[in-house]
Amino acid sequence: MSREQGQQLIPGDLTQRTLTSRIAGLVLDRRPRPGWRVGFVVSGLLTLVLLGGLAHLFTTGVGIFGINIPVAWGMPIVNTIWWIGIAHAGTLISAVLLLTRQPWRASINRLAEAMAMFAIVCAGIYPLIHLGRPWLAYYLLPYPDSLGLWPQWRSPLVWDFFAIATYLIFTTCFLYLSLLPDFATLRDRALGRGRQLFYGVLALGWRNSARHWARYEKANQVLAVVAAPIVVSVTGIISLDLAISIVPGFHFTIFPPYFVAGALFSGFATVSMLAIIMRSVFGLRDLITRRHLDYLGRMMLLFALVVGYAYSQEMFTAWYTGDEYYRYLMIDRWTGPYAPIWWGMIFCNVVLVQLLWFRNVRRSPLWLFVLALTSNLGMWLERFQIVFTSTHAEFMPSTWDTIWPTGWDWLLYAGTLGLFTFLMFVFVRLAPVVSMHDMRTAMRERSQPESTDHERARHE
Amino acid sequence: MPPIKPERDRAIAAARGPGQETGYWRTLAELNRSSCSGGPTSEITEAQQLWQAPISRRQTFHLLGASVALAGLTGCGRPPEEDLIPYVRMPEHSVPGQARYYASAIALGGYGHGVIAENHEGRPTKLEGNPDHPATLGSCDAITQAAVLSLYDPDRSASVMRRQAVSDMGSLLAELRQKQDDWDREEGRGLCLLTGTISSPSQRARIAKMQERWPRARWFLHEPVDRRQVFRASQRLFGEALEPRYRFTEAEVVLSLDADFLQSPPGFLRYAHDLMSRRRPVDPDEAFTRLYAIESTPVITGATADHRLGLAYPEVDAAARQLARELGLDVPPPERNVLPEDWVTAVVEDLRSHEGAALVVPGEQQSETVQVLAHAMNQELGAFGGPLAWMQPVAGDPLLPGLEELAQAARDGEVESLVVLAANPVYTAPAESGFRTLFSQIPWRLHWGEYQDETARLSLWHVPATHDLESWGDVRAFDGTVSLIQPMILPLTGGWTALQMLAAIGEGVESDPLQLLRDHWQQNSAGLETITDSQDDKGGNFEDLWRRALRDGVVSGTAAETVMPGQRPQALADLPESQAVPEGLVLQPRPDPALWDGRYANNGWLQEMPRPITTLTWHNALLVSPALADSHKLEDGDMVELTRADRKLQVPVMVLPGQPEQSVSLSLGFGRDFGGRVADGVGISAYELLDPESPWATVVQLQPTGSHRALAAIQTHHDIEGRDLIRAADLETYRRNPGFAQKEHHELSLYEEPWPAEREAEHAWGMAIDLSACIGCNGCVTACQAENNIPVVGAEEIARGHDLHWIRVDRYFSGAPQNPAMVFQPVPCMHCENAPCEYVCPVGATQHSADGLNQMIYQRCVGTRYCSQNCPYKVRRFNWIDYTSAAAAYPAEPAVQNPDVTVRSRGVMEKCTYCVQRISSVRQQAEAQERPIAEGELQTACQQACPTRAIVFGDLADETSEISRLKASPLNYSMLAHLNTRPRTTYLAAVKNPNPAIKTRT
Repeated sequence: MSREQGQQLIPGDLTQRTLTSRIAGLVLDRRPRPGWRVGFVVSGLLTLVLLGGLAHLFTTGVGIFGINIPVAWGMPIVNTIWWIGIAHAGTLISAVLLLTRQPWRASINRLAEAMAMFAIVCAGIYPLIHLGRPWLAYYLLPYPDSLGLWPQWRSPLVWDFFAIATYLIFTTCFLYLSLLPDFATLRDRALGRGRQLFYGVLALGWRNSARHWARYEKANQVLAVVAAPIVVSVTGIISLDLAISIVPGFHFTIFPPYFVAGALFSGFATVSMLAIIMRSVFGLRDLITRRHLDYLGRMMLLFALVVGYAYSQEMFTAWYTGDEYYRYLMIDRWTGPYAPIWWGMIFCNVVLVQLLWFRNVRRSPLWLFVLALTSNLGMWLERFQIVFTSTHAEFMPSTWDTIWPTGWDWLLYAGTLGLFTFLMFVFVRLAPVVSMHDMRTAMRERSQPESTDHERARHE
Repeated sequence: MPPIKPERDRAIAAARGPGQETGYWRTLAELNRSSCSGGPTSEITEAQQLWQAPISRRQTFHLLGASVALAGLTGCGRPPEEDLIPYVRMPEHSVPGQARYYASAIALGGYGHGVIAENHEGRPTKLEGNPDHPATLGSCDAITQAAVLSLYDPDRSASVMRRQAVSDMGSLLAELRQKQDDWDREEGRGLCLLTGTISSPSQRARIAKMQERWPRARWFLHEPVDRRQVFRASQRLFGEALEPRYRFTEAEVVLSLDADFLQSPPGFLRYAHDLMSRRRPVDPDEAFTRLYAIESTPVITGATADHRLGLAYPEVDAAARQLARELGLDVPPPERNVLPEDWVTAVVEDLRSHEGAALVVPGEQQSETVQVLAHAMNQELGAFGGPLAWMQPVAGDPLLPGLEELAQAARDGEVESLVVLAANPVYTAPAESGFRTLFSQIPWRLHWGEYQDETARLSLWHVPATHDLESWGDVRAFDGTVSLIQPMILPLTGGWTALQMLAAIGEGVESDPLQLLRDHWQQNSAGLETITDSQDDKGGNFEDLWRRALRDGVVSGTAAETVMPGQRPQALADLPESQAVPEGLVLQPRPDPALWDGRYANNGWLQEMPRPITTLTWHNALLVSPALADSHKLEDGDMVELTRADRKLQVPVMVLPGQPEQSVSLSLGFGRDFGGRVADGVGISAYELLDPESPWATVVQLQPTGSHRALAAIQTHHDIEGRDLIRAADLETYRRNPGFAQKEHHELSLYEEPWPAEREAEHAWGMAIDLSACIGCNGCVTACQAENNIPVVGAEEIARGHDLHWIRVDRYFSGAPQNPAMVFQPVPCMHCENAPCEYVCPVGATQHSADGLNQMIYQRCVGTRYCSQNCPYKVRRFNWIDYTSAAAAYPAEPAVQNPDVTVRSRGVMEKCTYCVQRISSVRQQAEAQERPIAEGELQTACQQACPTRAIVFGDLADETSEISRLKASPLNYSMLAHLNTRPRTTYLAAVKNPNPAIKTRT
């Protein structure tokens, strides 16, 4: 069975040499592909839009966003949670699939890690720019202040700060480590002196020695082991930003696992989308196969079911607590001014996603892309309804208000989408988009199936 | 663009006055005038011309070049040395950083409100009610509070204008002297004076003197919110114009016939205080005045009432007749019975059974017939001398001819010169009356006022008026009590006081404002003697009387004497027959609770004050009943077109439960053309559509236009959704079960509460708000704004939910939409002992103090807004953008800001502090004097302003304090107690006293 799997996951006509030259060629070719150019320019322009929006934000204030009292948190928080969710699958794919020795991870782990890294960058922008006085964001750091002031450790926002920072550092290390052997390959294959120097510095003196490999493997596994708890804790802590409060709709103990599941759901959806884009833009159909898509679809379905279960628990809890404010909130979500958001979320995350039960849907790039897109939309709507509907009509009816995102909210959202894509496009020109050494390992394993204990165990 | 020079030359020439172009002068006086008296004004105005003149491209480059050159020069040497010079002679008692308080008065519609002005280093920053003044008793309404902002209004007129060009006092005086010669020849024929209500004895004396000199001069009275009906009615009833004064302390049953005595001058603060002092039963067995209200639009009087009925303005006449006949008076019957039978029987029975303590209050804008009927009922019920006192009109002859007569005289060519004092008839005259055209046809027109408003622009001459806080003057309160007005500051923009203006017209001279006032009172020093004086040795010398009057701000014992009028026979029989209610929709203009008739429109605090009941700010809206809205498919903010003959007006609507179906209401005072930068273009002017014949009930047609406009309402949800936020009961329930407001209490915490350290604190500040006593006037909101440097944010921001008031008055409707019950709930910060805001702040910018305050540390705040998210009461406010600096849409005036309160920057959270600056200052004083803080020494701004004393603040650690007594009351409850926030601000449950005999339509 594993052989079949392996054959489908790695194209049979590729030798190690041709594989390496193809992947390295994506980086080392002088002339980028036209698809890349278009993407680079469009996403670059969107990044400029982001910069312009930020300039306006910093000179005017957060009043440009669609937020007020009572809805004091708006799209920036929605987008933070959304981006973090996207980042998570990246890490998990690399780490969990590495630990479980899933052979199909080889062609997509690099993509996933890069995606995680850039999604965190986007996620990290929002908490900063949503501050009233972003230039004082360093107050959240425990630095030796002359007044002896420390951050307030009871506030989940402080935990949040550390969680995101930790996650960013971790992801950077994880990505960079896996890039080391490939940078060395690029250094060796690069023709120009500049590039040789560039990749030489990045490769940190990698000589492909057995000792290097041994250390590499060890470090990689340690990081992979650390990854899972980090992923759970980061999203868990972000969910605590809401759950620690006393606001009905925020105050819910199921939030940490619920958010982790939601994050993974949207993360797998995003990986699917990126994989489908990459395999068509870079012609990697033989490296990222339908089999990969099938697996991604299964993961999406799994986490969609968990998310759906969380929704049902939330409704049950609202009823079961007997708390009139919580019950009202639930009914308001179904029938209030934000009802289209709630129903949209249910449609995308609960109804539509059931199509993934069908194997043909999972294996169809088009269908999977559409479902991944709607899942990401659904998860965005979920964050929107959590953030907006919970406070827009809470305890005191006199303060109730309905507010919608403004043009600036959308502009900055489009801007971070642009930034994310821009960073991805830059990345694929600077580093191999598919991990060459992992692919080579996978190919080796295919040719000598009995050589690994793992494979043998599965045979027996 | 035209070059600046010719215009500037003209301006300078105008400023110099006639004959000055050549540099020749005729008399020494002229030379002096041009260099001294006209000097500063002309210098300022010249500069002003330069600023206002358009700048040409060429000039821009000149300036650009010059500034670059100058910028370079500054680098050449040290900055110029300047000396800091200390006072050579220190002003007495002046300690830098310490506020000083002076008594004065502010005139509101001609009637005085005694104030205590807080001064910081010579700047008045806050007005508070004068506790000795009968009209305020220490409280203060929003309009008076906001007067201090108007003082610093940069849009106030700063120069004498002649034909819209800058002129000076000298030229005006010269022209006045010429005019006086003419008037002397003709005994004043053709000279007309148009004023608002003037209660000031000295001004009246001046006018009397003028009338003596020019007997054929005529005096016209114009108040847009006219009170003539009140006096016409008393004339009809008693044969003389008398002014009613209500004594609610002596009333047990009160019936209001479209009266809004809780928010309409004169006397409303006192009336609110007196009425509500008998409607807050901390002890269940206390007497409780019952209030019935019939009203043509929901106002706070009806909201406070135990029974409220909405009737369109014209129907109130029928209601009055119905009630009067039920009471046994022989009056012509109503055309149709408008009141439910059981209601009439029950009310009349209630009134009857309280003879001597029953009172009927007619609305001052209601028809003469309603007034007559009401007072006939009062006489029948024996109210005269008890709850209703009659007195000679405080503001002299109130039945002077008005605008209509003036217009007629102008049409007949009898008006040659018109002097308009502090009135703005070009704006406030109904457009249909054609007064605007007539006004500009009057040959010589002089306007004296604080702004270059609509009337000023059409006048030949405009003279800037001083603000009350810059003036020497006097004014009488609603009961006739005299107050002296003393200036807190020299006139900021020049200008003349009313007395100066009158002296200039009467004598053609510029006089000293203080001397004018002193001269008057020196001649009438008996008027400054108080009751105690007359018992002693007749008061002593004038200087002592004068000084005491200034110090006290009120001359006690000068209230008008009451009279017991007899009813004229036939007064009732002569009443006109009841008219059928006109077909169609009745447009009822209402004086705006903040802008009044429009005279306060350029005041940001007032524009932004949430209007009682509607909670609208900045823009007026046509108030329509839910039924009318349904039939036209209207929602809040939908535009409609009102048509009357060929006049059209487009206004947004607001659907207001309780509005009678046949009527729509629109606030006056909006839609100014030349009101100033704040006022202009805000809202719609109702004057455009008014019927000059019956302005208070104008028949109109309504047509939806299909367009929409966002309303800047503070509160958008009006149903309390059955939540336990407001606890209320009727008096019977309360007497049966005094503990009705107490709900089952669960211990919510595993820990000891409050923390022992908190229990041992020296002070524990707390607040109790009596929902029985709150009338929803929103005076506290403006008081808080004035005290705490709360910026004005503007209509757009309010519409987005970015309002910044630290205290809000929530209003909920309940019951049927056509006649709902209303309840008010002021909500400041609760200062929770377990504050949800505190533990979520990542930087610790909100903390708890030892004395129980939940404090904001602005400098530490980074603006995560988590505190607001986690505040169940949503009392926190955020500086979304820069609202304060000069770059803001409504920049804060630095001079008016309270130096004891931090001005918040953009991106910072803020909220009610319990006026921590006041707490600190009182505590420091007490500590310095080594004594405890005395009860009543410390008042928050909202508490101080509240006319009904609904807000009580004090020290819970002191068991004898009033606040401790209230917190022990069975009525006391915490809002959202189940969240275990343990709020320090608690509420006393509302108690109403409905008549058990009335079952229908409570």
